Amino acid sequence: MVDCSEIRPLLSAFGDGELEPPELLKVARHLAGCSDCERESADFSAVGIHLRDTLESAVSSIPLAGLTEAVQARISQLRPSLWSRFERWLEAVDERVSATLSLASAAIAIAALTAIILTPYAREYTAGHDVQVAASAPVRPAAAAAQTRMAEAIAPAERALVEDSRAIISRLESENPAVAVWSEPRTDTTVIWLSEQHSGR
Amino acid sequence: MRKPSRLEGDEAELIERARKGDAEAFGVLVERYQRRVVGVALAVVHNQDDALELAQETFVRAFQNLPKFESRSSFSTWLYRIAANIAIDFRRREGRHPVLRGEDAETELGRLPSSQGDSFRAVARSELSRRLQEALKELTPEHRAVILLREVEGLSYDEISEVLQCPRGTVMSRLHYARNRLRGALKDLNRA
Repeated sequence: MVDCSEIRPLLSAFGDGELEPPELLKVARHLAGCSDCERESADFSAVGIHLRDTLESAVSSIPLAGLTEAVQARISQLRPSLWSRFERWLEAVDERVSATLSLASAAIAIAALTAIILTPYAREYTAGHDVQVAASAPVRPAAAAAQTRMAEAIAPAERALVEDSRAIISRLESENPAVAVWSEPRTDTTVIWLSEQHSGR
Repeated sequence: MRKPSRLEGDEAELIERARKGDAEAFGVLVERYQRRVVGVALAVVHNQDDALELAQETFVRAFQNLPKFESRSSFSTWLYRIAANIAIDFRRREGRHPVLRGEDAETELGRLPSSQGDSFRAVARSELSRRLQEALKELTPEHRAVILLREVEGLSYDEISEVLQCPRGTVMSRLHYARNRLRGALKDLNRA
């Protein structure tokens, strides 16, 4: 049998369940055959029970009202440590950078979407103008200014037509600056524009 | 006393808010742990007023050091460590410069409110309790802290080792020594 002097220093940890399995087994075997050590182990348990009763009663009798408020009053007077001020500064910078990046990303996304959506229309619109320019080439110089004015005047209508029907103006032909003729082959549509003077109004 | 689990419920959020300077969130943590922290302090210093003052100091210091708290470990263990260190330091200073506190008169552990009832007072003032507190007074603050953290707070040896910043073997030997001393004080009573 193991000697009591070897077991006694382990009794406290044995009661706490803090021994490793080999030591636990050794103490348990010893206690089974040693009434002195078994009594000592029981005494340790009793000490724990009395101590808990005494200290818990003492602590529960202490009035704690006002402790939280006292602590909060003291911490409100504290100047934040250099480190925590630095941390807060970093967080503020981080938030600002994040917000700026978010705005920039949104702006880029909107610009990209706009470009993607409007590019075909822009091409069509430009193509219309090319035809118009080509058609106006043979016009006499004297009539050029009037034709330019006419082209400017019809531009809004043309834009509306492009937006509304997605029509492609394939030809714009006229020798007379007061008259314009549009042909739209896809929809088989021809539009004849007369100035107010020509129509007699 | 129930041992709180690690960062239970909203504790992590409260700690994070308190870390950013939210005094209200920290107030919730104070409410949650004040009795335990006062218990640690009282076991070491044996004086109610001192224990309350030390508990207050513990929480203020914890608030200041929250940025250093690593949430990998338990908040309560971290708090106990601060409380135990402050109480042990206080007790050592008091030991070097003793202050008359009327210890011959009623001590804190015996000074219980009448509202607790006569039977409770009778038990609390019993010979067993008196001897126990006398024996506790004879222990060093380190031994008192270790036995309180084990018996009342129910901390494991590893947790006590973390709180008191000493090896596990030291925890084991201090506990064994403290229990032997207290057992000696209660020996005659137990046999009676």
